[in-house]
Amino acid sequence: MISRSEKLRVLYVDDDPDLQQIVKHGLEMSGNFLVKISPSGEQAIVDIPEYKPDLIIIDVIMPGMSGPKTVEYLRQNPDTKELPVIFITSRVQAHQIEQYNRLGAIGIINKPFNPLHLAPQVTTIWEAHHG
Amino acid sequence: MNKTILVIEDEETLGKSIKSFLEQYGYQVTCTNDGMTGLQLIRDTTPGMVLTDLLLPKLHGFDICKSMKNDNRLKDIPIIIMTAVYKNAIHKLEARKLGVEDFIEKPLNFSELLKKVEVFLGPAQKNKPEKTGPLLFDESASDQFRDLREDYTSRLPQKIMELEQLWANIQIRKDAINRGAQLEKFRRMVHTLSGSGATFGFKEISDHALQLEELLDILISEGFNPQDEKKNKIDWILDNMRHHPVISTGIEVMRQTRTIH
Repeated sequence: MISRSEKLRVLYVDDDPDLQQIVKHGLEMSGNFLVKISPSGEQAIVDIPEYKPDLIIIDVIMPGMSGPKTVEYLRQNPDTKELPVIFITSRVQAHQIEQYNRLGAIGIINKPFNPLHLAPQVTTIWEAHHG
Repeated sequence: MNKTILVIEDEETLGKSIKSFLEQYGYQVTCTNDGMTGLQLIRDTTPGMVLTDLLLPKLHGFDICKSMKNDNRLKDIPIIIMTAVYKNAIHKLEARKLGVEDFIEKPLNFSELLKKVEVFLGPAQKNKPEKTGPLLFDESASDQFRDLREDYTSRLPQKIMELEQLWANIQIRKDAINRGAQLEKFRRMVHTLSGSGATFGFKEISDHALQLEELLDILISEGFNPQDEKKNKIDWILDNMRHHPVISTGIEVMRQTRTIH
């Protein structure tokens, strides 16, 4: 369970400024999450050691390093190789799900999503992972 | 009314585009890419209408028409011919004798196609129920949601105009490298739009953007060809986006406030 006293630290990685805002607000208004934004995979790699997130939520298609490439990179580093990751994506296909699972994703969220359902959805994935 | 359509088109991508286009309007579409299978499907399923190319593998379009005309069960099924070749009066007369109701020239103009289909199968269902269920952007959930949505809504017309301008640019580009880069940029923009549109309550815009993205994937992988029918479809989708009430009103407001000319 997500503890009420301690918020889950989420790093949200997406290049779309509109979605950055709505995800941050959607998660934080639930009271369970503290969200930091990284606008690219490259920036996420820089932000992670300092922010020390509990969970990464990352877009798949981004200019520069894609979501899967970023996670692949994280998996090679002992400090981040087990960091829980949720991919957020549109047009997801079976072979991609396999790829995300191989990268150790704990969940996949489809775009477009309902911002009001995001916090419960992430909570469910998180709790299933820790159950 | 029987709203089923059989499309016989050997260029598979075009067949699929026609199918996905007409299905948005509530028609039920089956596609095949050779004449022989086409005729068999007509016999087996008696569709409400047949939309066929002429130069087909295995059986010519005119032979399909002839077989249908000689079959009492099939002779009243309307046939529309899609052709880039048989355009002159003699061909058309010959086709009429075979029971062909109408023609549409290739490259296809999709809105013209829809009008022709509507003549035979009745009006399109423009308010088809959403495939994935309604997206709920409940503005009352918080003031910040409402502000974010208002902000997004106010910028959306500008985004669509940028897409239109970029698409116009792509079409006049002569050098392949530059055009390739612009196509990639165009694809990135529609990808972003497909992800954010429905999240902010604009499901229709998201759907259009997703269709554009799929077409662009094909255009980019096959190489840009100015004669390609996918171009018409892209025009048509952009046109639909522009006619969304939020977009057309937004553009009008921008005009009046002289932010655009």
